[in-house]
Amino acid sequence: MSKLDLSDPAIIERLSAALEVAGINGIEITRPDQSLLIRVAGSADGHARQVRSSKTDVGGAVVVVTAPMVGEFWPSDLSRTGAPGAFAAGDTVGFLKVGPILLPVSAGPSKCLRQHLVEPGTIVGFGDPIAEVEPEA
Amino acid sequence: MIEIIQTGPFNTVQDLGRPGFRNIGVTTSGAMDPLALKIGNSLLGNEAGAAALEIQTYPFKLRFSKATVFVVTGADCGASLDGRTVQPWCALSVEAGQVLELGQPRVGTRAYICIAGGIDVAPVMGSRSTSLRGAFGGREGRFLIAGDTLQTGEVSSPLNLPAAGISVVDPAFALADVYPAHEDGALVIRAIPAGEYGLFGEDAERFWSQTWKISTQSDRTGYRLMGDAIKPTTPVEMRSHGVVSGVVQVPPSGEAIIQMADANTAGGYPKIAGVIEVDLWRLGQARIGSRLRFVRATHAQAAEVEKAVAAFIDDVRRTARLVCGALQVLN
Amino acid sequence: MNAAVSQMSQPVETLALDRNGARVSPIGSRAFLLEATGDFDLASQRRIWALSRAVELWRDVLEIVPGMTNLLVVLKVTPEDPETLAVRLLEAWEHAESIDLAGRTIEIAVTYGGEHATDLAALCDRSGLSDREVVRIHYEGTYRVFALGSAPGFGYLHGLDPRIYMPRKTVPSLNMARGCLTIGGMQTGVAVLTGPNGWNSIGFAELQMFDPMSATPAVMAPGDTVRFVPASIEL
Repeated sequence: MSKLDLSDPAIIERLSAALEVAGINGIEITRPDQSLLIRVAGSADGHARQVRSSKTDVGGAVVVVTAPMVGEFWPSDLSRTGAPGAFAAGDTVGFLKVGPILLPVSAGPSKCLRQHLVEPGTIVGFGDPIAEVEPEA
Repeated sequence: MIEIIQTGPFNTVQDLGRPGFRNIGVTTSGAMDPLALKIGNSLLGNEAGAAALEIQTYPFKLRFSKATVFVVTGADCGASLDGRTVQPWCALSVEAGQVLELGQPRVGTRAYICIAGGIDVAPVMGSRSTSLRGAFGGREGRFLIAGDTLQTGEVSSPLNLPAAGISVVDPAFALADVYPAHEDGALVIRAIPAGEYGLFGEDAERFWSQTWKISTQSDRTGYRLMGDAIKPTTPVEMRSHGVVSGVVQVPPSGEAIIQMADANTAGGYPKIAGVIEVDLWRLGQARIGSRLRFVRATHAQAAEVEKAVAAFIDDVRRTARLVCGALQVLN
Repeated sequence: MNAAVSQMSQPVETLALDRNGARVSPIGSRAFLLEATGDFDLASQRRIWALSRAVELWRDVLEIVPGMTNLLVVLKVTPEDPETLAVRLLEAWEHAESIDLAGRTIEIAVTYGGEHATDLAALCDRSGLSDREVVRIHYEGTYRVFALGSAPGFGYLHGLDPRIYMPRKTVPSLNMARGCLTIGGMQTGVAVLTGPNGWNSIGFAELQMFDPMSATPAVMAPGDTVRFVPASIEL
């Protein structure tokens, strides 16, 4: 039997929906190569969800990079050109902007960016997936 | 401690300068881009006026002799640490033995290497700034040479930087609301008419309307501007008086000179205008051969920009500490 | 767009208040120059010294720079309303009683003429005096240090005989030596740094005017009396 990819947004969505329907307010799955945390909290305007998914590198798999804290996601460092441009240099997949501070988010050792999972300027929370990285070619 | 491995001439230790001694003829000196110095220091949790290295000739290379935290602000000069790219405005931790290298600037002209605790040379008359003219301050009153070693100051409450460091949003972007954009490739510098403005008659308008070119005879002392000569309607022999950096004087040649950080403390040439304090850092980053234009400003406008800039620097200091603290708790 | 940018191109009145023998004008956003508009004399300078003492106590003042019958005031922050500041300065000027500074008397040994007196001939041409007369007029004078400035420890001396006034040069000497005895307009002084200099050299003095490591770095202070003593005359 093939294992579920816990970083697949579709899987997370299905799991979350199932939890809500069942009235369960959280689940945490930890495997050697992946972990997933989903918390569902009731609020006045429906359900709020906290998802934390991470994947450690085993054998060339795609890994999801999550936000290390709350901030506004930008793929570049908002440099002098003023226009958020192409991907940041080196091992950075983007930045979290907190006021005047930019927190570089690293792809991890020997990784390069596969795709961003959020739009530039999106406010992300702690643990939110922001990019997929894969081993350097 | 740091060790200078490679340097061109005219790279010096600078802080925010040596105010209070103009009355005995001592130039203020200090960073040509004080904003970059203050932001670098604030990001690291240093005093805003801690001493740093002002680099204006390249390539420049130094070795860190002990683990510390540093940031390169000001000019974007394609810095690298042991060969890996270092983003400008990004504070990073380094291990003992790592080598920082700065290449020719891609944007701007002067880079500031700020290090946790600041560069600890002996203060002279209250400042660590190098006075090249006076031959005191900084490193023995001279510019840095290969082989120099410099101590860094103690750090009272060090920041716990994440591995990838933390950056400041480039102030040219972050402060775009309070700084005019370039016009036709010319830097726009705000100035207030000065004492002899009225003596220039119709030439005064040409001071504002024309685009001036920064000549090769420009350095930390002053920028000589090339353009259509402007002349007073009658010659004046002035009594010598104190001046500040940013004063725009017009010598008999009719080509304006902007006095900069290492300027004489007094002068006697007629002055047509004075650059507002908060625009001096942009001049500090302007290249020889580049063009600029003056626009008139009021004190009220200058005061407003000054407040915005001060608030930004405070925000950098506060938020840097907050972000590093939050990361420690969360991760 | 922010107001500070968008209002920029509107015309701005020039601030230059002129009243009761003084004029205030700005240099940039934080500095203001008060100039006594009367004669260039000791009486005016004594009032400048008095004004300096009063203004340096103001809490918004970063530093003051007394010049030749003028005072530059540098503020800690840019004032939103410069006219209020200008009026305050003019009022302080009106209230400034003349004071005298009890200075020392400094005697400076000078070699008049010789290799450093690069502008003595031009001064003779302009004044119609012989080199001997120019030198004698200079060393017979008694000078007061009105102010220090330009370079570390450089004293602007008042008391030059009008017969040997000499305007600053249109093209400065590129590398005038430290120690050159110079005349700039109606002022005289001894160059403290080697470098470009627009004043006219008539001799040379071997005196260290500045020591940055000293508690009082400058040898001269405003109010000091200076006499030049001819150690040799090489004409």
